Amino acid sequence: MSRVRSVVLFIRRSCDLGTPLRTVAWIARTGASDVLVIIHPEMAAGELEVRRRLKHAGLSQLKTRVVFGRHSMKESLIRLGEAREGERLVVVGSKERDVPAREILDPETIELIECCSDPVLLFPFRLSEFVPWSLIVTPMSGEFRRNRALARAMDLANQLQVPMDIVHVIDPMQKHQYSAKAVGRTGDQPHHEIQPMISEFISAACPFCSESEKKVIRNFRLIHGSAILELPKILSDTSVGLIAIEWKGLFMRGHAETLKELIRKLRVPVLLIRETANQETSLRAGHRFRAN
Amino acid sequence: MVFDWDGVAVSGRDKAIPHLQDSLSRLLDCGVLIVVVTGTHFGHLQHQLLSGLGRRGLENLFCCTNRGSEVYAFRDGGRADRVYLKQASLDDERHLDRTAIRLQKLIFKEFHLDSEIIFDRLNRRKVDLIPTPQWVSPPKGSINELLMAVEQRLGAHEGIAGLPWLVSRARDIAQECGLEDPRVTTDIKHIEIGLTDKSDSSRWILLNQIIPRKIEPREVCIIGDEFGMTGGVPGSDLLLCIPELVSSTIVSVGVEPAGTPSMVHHVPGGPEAFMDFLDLQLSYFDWGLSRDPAWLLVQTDFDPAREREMEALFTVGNGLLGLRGALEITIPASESDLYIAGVYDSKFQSRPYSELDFLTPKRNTSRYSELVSFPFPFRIRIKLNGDEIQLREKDSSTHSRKLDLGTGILEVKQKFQIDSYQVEIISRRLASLDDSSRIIHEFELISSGGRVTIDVECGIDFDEFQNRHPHLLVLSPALKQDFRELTFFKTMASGKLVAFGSRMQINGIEVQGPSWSSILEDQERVQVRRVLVVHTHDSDMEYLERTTRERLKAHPLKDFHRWIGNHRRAWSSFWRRSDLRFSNNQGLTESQRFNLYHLRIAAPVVSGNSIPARTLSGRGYEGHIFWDAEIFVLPFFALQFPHFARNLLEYRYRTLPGARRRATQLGFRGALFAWESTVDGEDETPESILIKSHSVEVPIFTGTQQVHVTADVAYGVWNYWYCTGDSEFMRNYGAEILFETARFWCSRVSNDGDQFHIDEVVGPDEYHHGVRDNAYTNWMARFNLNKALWARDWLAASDPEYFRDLCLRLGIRTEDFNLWDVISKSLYIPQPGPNGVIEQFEGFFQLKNVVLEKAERLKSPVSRLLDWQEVNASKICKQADVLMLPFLFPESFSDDVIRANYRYYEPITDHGSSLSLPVHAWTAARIGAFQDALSYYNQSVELDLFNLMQNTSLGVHAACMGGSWMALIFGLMGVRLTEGGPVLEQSVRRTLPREWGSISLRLLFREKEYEIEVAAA
Repeated sequence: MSRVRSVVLFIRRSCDLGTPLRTVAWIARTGASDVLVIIHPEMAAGELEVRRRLKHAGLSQLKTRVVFGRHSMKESLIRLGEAREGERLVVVGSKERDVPAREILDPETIELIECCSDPVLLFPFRLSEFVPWSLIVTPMSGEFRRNRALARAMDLANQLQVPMDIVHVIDPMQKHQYSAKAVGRTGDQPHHEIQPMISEFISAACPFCSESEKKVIRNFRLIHGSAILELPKILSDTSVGLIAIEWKGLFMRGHAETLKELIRKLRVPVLLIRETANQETSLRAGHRFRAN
Repeated sequence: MVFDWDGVAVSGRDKAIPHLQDSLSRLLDCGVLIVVVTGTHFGHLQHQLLSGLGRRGLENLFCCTNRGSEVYAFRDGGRADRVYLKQASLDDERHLDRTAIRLQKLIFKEFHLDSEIIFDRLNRRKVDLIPTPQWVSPPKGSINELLMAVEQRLGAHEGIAGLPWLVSRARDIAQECGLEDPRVTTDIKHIEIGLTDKSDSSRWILLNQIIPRKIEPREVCIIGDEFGMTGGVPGSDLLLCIPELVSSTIVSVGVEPAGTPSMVHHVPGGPEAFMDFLDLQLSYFDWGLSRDPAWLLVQTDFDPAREREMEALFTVGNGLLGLRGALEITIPASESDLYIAGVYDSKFQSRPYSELDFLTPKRNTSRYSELVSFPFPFRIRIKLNGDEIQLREKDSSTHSRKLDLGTGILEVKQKFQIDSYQVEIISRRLASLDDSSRIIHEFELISSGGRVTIDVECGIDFDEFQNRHPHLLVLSPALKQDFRELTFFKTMASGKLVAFGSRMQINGIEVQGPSWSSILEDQERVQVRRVLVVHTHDSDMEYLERTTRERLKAHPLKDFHRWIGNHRRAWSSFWRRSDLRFSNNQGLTESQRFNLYHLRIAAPVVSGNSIPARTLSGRGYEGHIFWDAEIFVLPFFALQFPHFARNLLEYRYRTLPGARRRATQLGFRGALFAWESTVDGEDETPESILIKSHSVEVPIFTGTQQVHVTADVAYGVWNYWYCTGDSEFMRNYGAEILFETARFWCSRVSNDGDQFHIDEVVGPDEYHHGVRDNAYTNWMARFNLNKALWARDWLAASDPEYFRDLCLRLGIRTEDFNLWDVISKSLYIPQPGPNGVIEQFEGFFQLKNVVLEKAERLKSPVSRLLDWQEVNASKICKQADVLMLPFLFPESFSDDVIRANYRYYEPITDHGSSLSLPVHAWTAARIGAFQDALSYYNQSVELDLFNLMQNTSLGVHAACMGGSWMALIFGLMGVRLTEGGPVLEQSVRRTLPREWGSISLRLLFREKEYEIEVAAA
C-alpha cells in the first residue's frame, strides 16, 4: 500500500479555496508530511488572504510551504521531479460548471492533468461542502487487468478511513461486453461464479493491495445500462465524497467523454489517475508462446 | 544398473578412479541399485573401487565376481559379505581340469600351437590361446589387433574355422568329461570353461534384488563392452541379457568390431562414455529441468494482474497436497495456498473470501462447506543491510517460472535490485509423488554488488493469516526440537488437526530454522534446503505430534537427492503409460501433457478422497465435488491407473450414509448423492443467493433438482467395472451403490398410469429447472436400474452368501428387485422425433426462441443468471444435455440421430460450463463435422492454458481436461471399448487433420496394456 506523503496544491484565482484547503488539511493530518502550496502568479496580491485561509483550514500548523509560482502549473510540477508511485497527490481546482464539456477545464489545467503521472485531485467550482468524505466511488471497465485508479483510491480510502464502492456498468448495447477478459459474463450458477469472479477481478486490478486494505470496499455495484447515464445517477447520492477514475490521459475532442460529462455535472471532486502500460506476462507451453 | 567392470568402468586395473567412485557413491546414495559384474575375483574390486566409495547407500551395491560364481553385498558401514557362492564339487573340479587339458591337446593336435592352462580360477579353467609376451595383458581397446593375431595363429590351418570351432569343441569336450551344463566363453585370448557365467550374475540379481525391490525390468540398464560377435563368437556381455531382462535398456561402450545386436544401443567410447552415462543418470536425481521445451511450461516477464492465474497453472501436487505455484517473494494479492485433499471447514460469513460480502448465500450449517486453504510454507523474507526486499509497483525486479511437466518440478527465479546490490533467488520445489505427505524445497541466494549483511527468514507465510486463512487456528507456537520445526493448525468448525513439520539445512548444515543472518561477500551463494511433511488427524493431538515427529526423524536431509530420484521415477512411470503424442503437432502434444499433468497431481492417493472441480489448484467451487469426477475424470484413470478411479468411487461409497440421509430428508428412499459434495455426503448447495446491488434473490435449484448425479455415480461404478473387471470392488462397494441408487429412483419417479416419469428436475443444462422427463436424467435413471439388476444377478451367482447378507443388511426384498425391473421397462424415455431430435425435456420445443450470438459463447452475460425466469422460459442451453447421451452411450444412437441433435442443440448452447466443449468435440467428430470437432477440441484442450473462461485463477478445470482426453480418444480417434479390448471404430469417419500426423497412446483395459496409434487419413 502507498500512502500520500506529499501534496502539491495549486491555487488559482478562479477556484474556490475553502474546500480544497480543508481537504488537503485532512489528508495532511493522516500522514502527508509535506504540503506544498503553489500560488498562481495572478494571485500575487492575495497572499495574505491565502495565508489566512491556510491558517483557517489548519494547514499552517502542519509542514506547509507556500510559494508563488513563476511558471505554468505543468512546468512547476516538472520542476518538482518524480515521486514514488502513489506518494504524491496533485490538487487543482476547475472553472465554472455548466459550460460545454470541451470548455470545462482551462488549457493550463488540461496541460497539467495530461502530463501528470501522479493522481490529480480535481475540484469542481463551488463544490458543496463534503469534507470529510463518507464514500469514495471508483468506476471500472470490467476488464481483468490492473487498474491504477482502484489501487490509488484504495490507498486513499485506507489512509482517510473512508469506505469505497466499485461500480461496473455493463452496457448491453456494446458488443465488447462479451469480451473474454471482462467480469460479469458467466454462465455457471451464480453462487459459484459471481462472488469469486469479483474477488479475482479486484485482485487483478490492485495486486499490491492486501486483503486487509481491501476491507475498505463496501460494495461492488454491477449496473446494466449506459455508463454516461448510469454513473451520474450513482454519484448523485449525497454520500459520495470522491470519484476516482482511471483515464487514458487525453482530454482532446473525442476522448474522455464520460469523464468530461462527469466533471461537468458533478459536485464532488474527481481523482484522476492516468492509465499506464504494464509489463505483460508471457506464457510458453512447450514450443508455443501465448501472446497476451 | 548392471555393468561389466573391465573395459566398461575401467580401462586398467591399476588406475585411480576418483571421479567414477564419486559418481557411483552419489548414485548409491540416491537409492540406485548398482551391480558390478566381473570375471575376476573380489580382491581386485576391493582394491580399485571400494577403497574410495562413500559409506552411504552401500546397501544398494552388489559385486558379482568370478564370472557368476560369487556375489558380495555390503552392510554395517561397508563390510563386505559374500552372500552367494557357487561351490564346485570335487567331481566338478576334476571335470574342469580334464576339459582344459583335453582342449589344450586338441589345440596342439589341430593347430600345432602351444597354449597355457590357467587352473587357479574359481569354478573355471582358462586356456590361453596366445601365451606370448606381446599379448600377456592386452588392453580392451586393442581387441581388433588381438583378434587378428589369434586368427592368424588359428587360421593357418585349412578346414578348421578358428575360434567358433574351438568354442564349440570345448563345449563338447566338457560334456564328454562329465560337466552337465558347461559354460564356455571366450575373450579372444582365452577359451574359458566353467560352471557359471555372467547370466548367473544377472539371474541372482533379478531374483534377489530386482524383483523384491519391485524394480521393473525396463527400469534396468545393462552396460557392457562385448555384445556383438567377435571372431565369430557372441560377446560375453550378451550373457547378462537373460530373457527376463530383455526389456532392459542395453548399452555397449565397447569397440564392437562386428557391430551389436539390434537391442543394444552402441555408444563407443569405453570408460569415458560410461562416465558420461553415469553423469546423465545422476542428473535424474537432481533438480535439473528438462531441456526439451515440449515438457516445459514457462512464464517470463511478470504481470501482477495475472499472478493468481499463474499460481494455478504452476501448481505442484501429488493428490494429497496441492501447492499453488506462488513466488517465494510475492505480491499481497497472491493466493499462495496449500490444499490438503479432504480437509474442509465451514464457510465463515464474517470472513468470506470475497471481502465484499457481495452475496449472502443461504447455506446449511455444514462443518465441511469449503476446502480449507493452508498458508504457503515456503515464504522467503530477505533483508539486505536491514532493508526488506519487497515486490513493489514499478520496481525493476524480474520473476520467471518453469514447470517441468515430466517431473513435476517447479523452478522459480527472482531478481531484485536494491541500490547497488543485486539479489537473485533460484528456487525449486516438488510435491513428492512417492511419499504424498512430503514437499521439498531448495533455494539458492546469490548476492552481488559487494559485501552485504543479509537476514533471511523462510517458512510458513503468516502474513494476514486471519484474512487469508479464516478456517485455521494456530494451536501452538512452533516447537523446535532437534532442528525440527512443528506447527499445528486446527480447523475452526470441522476440528481437523493438521501438522506441518519441517527441517532445514543451510549450505549442507542442518539448522534450527526459520531465520538466520550472515555477511555475504560479492557473488557468494547460499543454498537452503527444506523438507516439509504434512500430517492430519481427526482429533488426537498427541498422536499427531508423535507421528509427525517420527516422520520428521525419518526425513534426514541427507536423503534429499534420493527423494528427488524417487519422485522423478514415479513421474517417469506415470508418463510411460499416459503420454500421448501427436507426431506432427507439438502444440497439441504439449497441451495434452499439461492437462494430464494436472489430472495426475489431482488424483486421490487415499481411498475416500475425490477430485474437486478445480482440483487442488484453486479455491473455485469451494473445493466441491460434482458429477464431473465420475463422468469426465474417471474414464481417464480407469484406462490408465485404475486404482485412482477406484479411489474416486470409494469416496462415493464413504459418503453413502450421507446420501441416504439426504434421500430421507427429501422424502425419498435409497441414496441421493449430493450435487455439491465434500466430506460426509451432505449437499453443500445453497438454496438461494442474494445479489445486493440488484436486490435480486436468485434461487438455486441444482441442490434439490439436479438428481442425475446419483445415476452418474452409478454410471461411474459400471464404467470402472467394465474397464477393469475389478470383482472385489463390485462385490464390496459397487453393488451396494447400485442397489441404493436404484432404490432412490424407484421412490423418485411418478406414475401416470401407463408410464413412469421423473418430475421437477434440472438436467445438465442448468438454465432450466423444474422440468419433467429430462432425457438425460431419465436415460441415466433407467441405466442405473438396469445395472442394479445386473449386479443382483452377478452377485447372487458369484457370492450368494454375501448377496443374501447384503440384501438383509439393506433391507432389500425380492419385491424391490421386481419393482426395479418394472420401472426400468416402463420409465418414459424421450425418443427422437420425426426430424431425429430428442426433446430435452417435456415442453422444451414450445419454449421461446432466442437467437444466441456467437459472441456469447463461453461468455454469456451475467443477466442470464439474474433473469433466471426469463431464461427458464427460453430455448437456450447452458451446456450439452441431450448430447450427453451419445457421448456416454455411443452405440445406442445412429449417426443420423446424433447429427440431428447436434444441429439442433449446438446453435442454442452458450457453453456456460467448460464441460460442454469436449462433449461437443466428441459429437462433432462422430458425425463428421470435423471443423467443429477441431474447434471444440482445441478450445477444450487449451481452456486453462489460454484462460478461455477467464477464471483459471480459481483453479484448473479438471472435468474439461478429462473430457478433452475422452473427446480425443473416443471421438476423434474413434476408439471403442469392447469385451475383447479397445478397437478402432470403423464406422466413425476418421479424417484427422494431416497436420496432426499420427496419434499414439496406451490404454490399460482389464489389466492388459494396449498400444494404439491412429494416423491421419
